[in-house]
Amino acid sequence: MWKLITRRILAALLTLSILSVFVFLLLYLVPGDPGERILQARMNGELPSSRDVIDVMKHDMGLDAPPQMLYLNWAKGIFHGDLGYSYITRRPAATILHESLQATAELVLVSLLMVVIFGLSLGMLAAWKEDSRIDDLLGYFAILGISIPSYVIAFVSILIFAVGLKILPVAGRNGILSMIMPSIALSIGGAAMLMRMTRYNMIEEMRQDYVLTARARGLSEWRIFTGHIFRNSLPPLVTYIGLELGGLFSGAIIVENIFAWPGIGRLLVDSVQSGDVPLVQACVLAIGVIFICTNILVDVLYTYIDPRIKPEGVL
Amino acid sequence: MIYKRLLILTLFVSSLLVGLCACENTGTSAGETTLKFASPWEPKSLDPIVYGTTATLGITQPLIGVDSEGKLSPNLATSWDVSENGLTWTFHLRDNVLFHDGTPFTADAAKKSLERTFSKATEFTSVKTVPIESISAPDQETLVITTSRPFATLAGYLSKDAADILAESSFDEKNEVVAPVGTGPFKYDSWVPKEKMVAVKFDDYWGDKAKVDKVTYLCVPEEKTRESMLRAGEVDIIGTISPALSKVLAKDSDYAVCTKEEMGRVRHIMLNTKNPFLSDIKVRKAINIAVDRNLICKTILEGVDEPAGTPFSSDLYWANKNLEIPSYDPESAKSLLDEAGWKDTDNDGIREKDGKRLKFTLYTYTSRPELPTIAEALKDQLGKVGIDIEIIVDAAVLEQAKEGKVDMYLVSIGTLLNRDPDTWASYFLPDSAYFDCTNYSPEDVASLVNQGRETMNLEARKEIYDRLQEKIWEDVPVVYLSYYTGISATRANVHGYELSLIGEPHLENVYKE
Repeated sequence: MWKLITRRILAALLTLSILSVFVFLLLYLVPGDPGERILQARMNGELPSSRDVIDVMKHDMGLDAPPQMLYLNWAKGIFHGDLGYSYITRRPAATILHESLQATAELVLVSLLMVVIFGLSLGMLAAWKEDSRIDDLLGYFAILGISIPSYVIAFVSILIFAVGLKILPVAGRNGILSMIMPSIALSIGGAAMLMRMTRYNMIEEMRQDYVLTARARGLSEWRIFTGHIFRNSLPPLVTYIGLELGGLFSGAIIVENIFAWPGIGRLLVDSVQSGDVPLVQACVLAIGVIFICTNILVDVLYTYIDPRIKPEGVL
Repeated sequence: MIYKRLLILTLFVSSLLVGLCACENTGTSAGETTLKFASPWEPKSLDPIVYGTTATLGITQPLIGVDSEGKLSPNLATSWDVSENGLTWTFHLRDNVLFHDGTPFTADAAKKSLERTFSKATEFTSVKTVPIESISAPDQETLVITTSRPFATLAGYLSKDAADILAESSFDEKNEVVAPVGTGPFKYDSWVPKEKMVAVKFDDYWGDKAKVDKVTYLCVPEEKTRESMLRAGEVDIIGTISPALSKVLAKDSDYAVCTKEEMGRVRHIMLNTKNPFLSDIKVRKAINIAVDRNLICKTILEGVDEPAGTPFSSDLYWANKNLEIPSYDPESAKSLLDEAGWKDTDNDGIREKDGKRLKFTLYTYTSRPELPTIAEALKDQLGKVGIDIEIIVDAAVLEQAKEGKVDMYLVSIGTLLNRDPDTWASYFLPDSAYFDCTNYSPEDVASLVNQGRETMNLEARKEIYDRLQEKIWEDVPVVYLSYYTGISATRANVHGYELSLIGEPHLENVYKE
């Protein structure tokens, strides 16, 4: 197990260093001269009346050094938790990232929990009651959940619960009540998908021979269902949940904007729009790290859930 | 076994979440009136040098204000005068003004605050060009600033948010703002980056005291969400809304809509006068009357923004009111092009001369989303008089302009950004960042720009800029298209709310029923 984790971490470090180069190159992929861009970012897209201000700015920000030096300095900074400074607010990018990640983590973790709880339990229910009326009903709901985009759910729920019934706040980050609508909007699609997958996988497993054997041994249906069928159908579901974490982060970009939730999704949109490259770099790097860590976690969970999967096999 | 572990994991995660969420729970005591304001703009900083939220909320104030015509007016300085040689500025400061920490507002305090503003020049970019020599406080009611050369726009710079006066207790040992202590009608209370800033009424304010006890500024990027918050009664005022939404809300008696032009912001096309075709003034004039400003304003801009013929709208002091908006006249445009020798010889709808097609590149960018749509309309309108346009959407125009690839540049610029017409006039000097887009700086124009910078008398300056506007109007290096209008909406029980030219809503005048 430890061998697996070390090997995965080493591979992750390699991925990370490649990622860091790409993230750094963002600075150069954005059109225009960096000095010009900083000024545009600070002056709401406009340029100063005098041209030498651009060169002074570049010099002041240390951006007139050769790219490889800039990269080394930037990469060195990462190890010290220094991601540079926002072009616009001059606050440390690491601080801003930390604030935003915290807000997003709340939202994404609650949503993930909802995806797992509702997805697995309703999926199990549908499989248990296969082809019953409940199964049909859940199937319809799942299709609705998968096909309605999150922003529609968001706005419809705002209209009903906040504007109409006035029982939930429209937007903002103000305690548990304000989290209900954003997390529902964010998790419905994933939960519906997981529910369908759970149902499908479990029904598949039900047709396996070992179920017959278990029945022959006189085990109760419930015992077979939870102890054998569910457990055997878990690995693909865990993979999906791992992927869904990534999906939730990307979904957060829309949901956070609608609900004025000050998370990393909004940070990314804002900093891309305003050309605040250090913040874009910080966001992309953070999202990359989260993806890599999730992958490691999923691999480890695999061997945990299904001991037959050899650590080597995963690599 | 596995369930037990999953259960423990679930419990752990949920307890973590409850811990995370259970923080904030602010209540409002009875009888206290809170005004809530939702805007798409983030409260980016506590430091007015970085971002103006403290000015919007009425926490911090500058020495000089801006009146409804865009002219400079008294604020913390009641008056100011400039010496004969134009190098020494004397500001007479308002008496009996207190900072929010109870200390008096004095010339010493103003000096320290402004010295910080100017020393942070790299961060307050446009100040870089201000040739400050010294700031001194001969007595507590007088502030004297000397410059190394006559610099008429100084007063304009001092009216910007970045020059707001902060008390010394605002700063930490690194001279960074930890809590803005200003002189305004509202006192800083709290700030959550990206989310909100809260200010409370300051009882010892020198002017008309605030009518509400508390103002909360909320950042809500999505317009639909701002609308919902207004409808649900969660906020009293929403800023920066679209014409479409304003029409919906105006029909509903529960809400009131207010509009105000944004000071000196104008959409226009810069014409590269170095381009061999555009160097012919007849071609430039033809373009000027071949664009249908009214149609663009009515359709693409949904009938809210006004057509423009000059850099300043007629509401502004600096506008040359004798200059008319060129009227849409495609027939005259055609005959001008005919006169210039451009004829459609091969009947493909595009004019030719000496075997060359009358074709231009038109650059624009997307950060102002209506611009590419306007570019399409321009292509269509200019096509009708036989001019072919190739639209190129590219944020990095300046590099292309240096290489001479940019024939036309559709752009939105604040012409009074420094609260002075020099912001606009300086674009016609060769060291301007935008110079490569027009390549227009004839001697008489450049000398007018420089005169404007050195003339201190208001009327004399106005005359100079009137002449400059006339010159630009005649020479057409720039085709002005339309001004901007800001729209906000309030709930019907909110009174006294007015948008200002410079985006400071004077919330102290607002009250709720």
